[in-house]
Amino acid sequence: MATAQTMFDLSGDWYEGRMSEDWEPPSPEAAESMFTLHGLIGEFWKLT
Amino acid sequence: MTPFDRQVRAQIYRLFVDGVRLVDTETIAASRGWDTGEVENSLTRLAEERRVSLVDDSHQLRMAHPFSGVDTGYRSVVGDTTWNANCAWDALAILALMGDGRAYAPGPGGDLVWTVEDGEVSPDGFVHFLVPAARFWDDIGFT
Repeated sequence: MATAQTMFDLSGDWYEGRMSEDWEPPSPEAAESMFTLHGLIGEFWKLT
Repeated sequence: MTPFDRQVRAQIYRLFVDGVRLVDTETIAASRGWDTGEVENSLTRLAEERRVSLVDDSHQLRMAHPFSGVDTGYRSVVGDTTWNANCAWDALAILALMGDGRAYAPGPGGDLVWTVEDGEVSPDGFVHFLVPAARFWDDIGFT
């Protein structure tokens, strides 16, 4: 589980640039770093 | 993604942002004067690469995260515009993209409603994930 505030805050980073033609999906490492930045840690949030 | 796939993907988002509910081959092609066959092929590639999700056996958009192309009960409202979302996270994410407003999540006793104003979500609440992050796309519809 995560708080709604956490998921909203994560969204700002997670979806930054998403709608641009130039958008590239983040690597698993980069995506996991975003989770970590917002306190989403542990096995449930691991991508690597 | 090919350059055309990138254009198609970006156009999908423009259509959703503009409030178009049904985004499919015909809608996308007509919006830019593109060939429907080329758009359909592009959607197939984008879905295979997990850049979008399509409604089963069709080329209608089911998901271009955080937007949903189908009515899931999750939705986001900013002013007079409502967007369908895929889940609670996406309903909040749409507000992060589109501005202050309300995110709705269906519940057994009626909708849960979060208000976002100046980056603050109220009331406090939790989003519960059933599927670990590494497996989100195993069945993105279930996730």
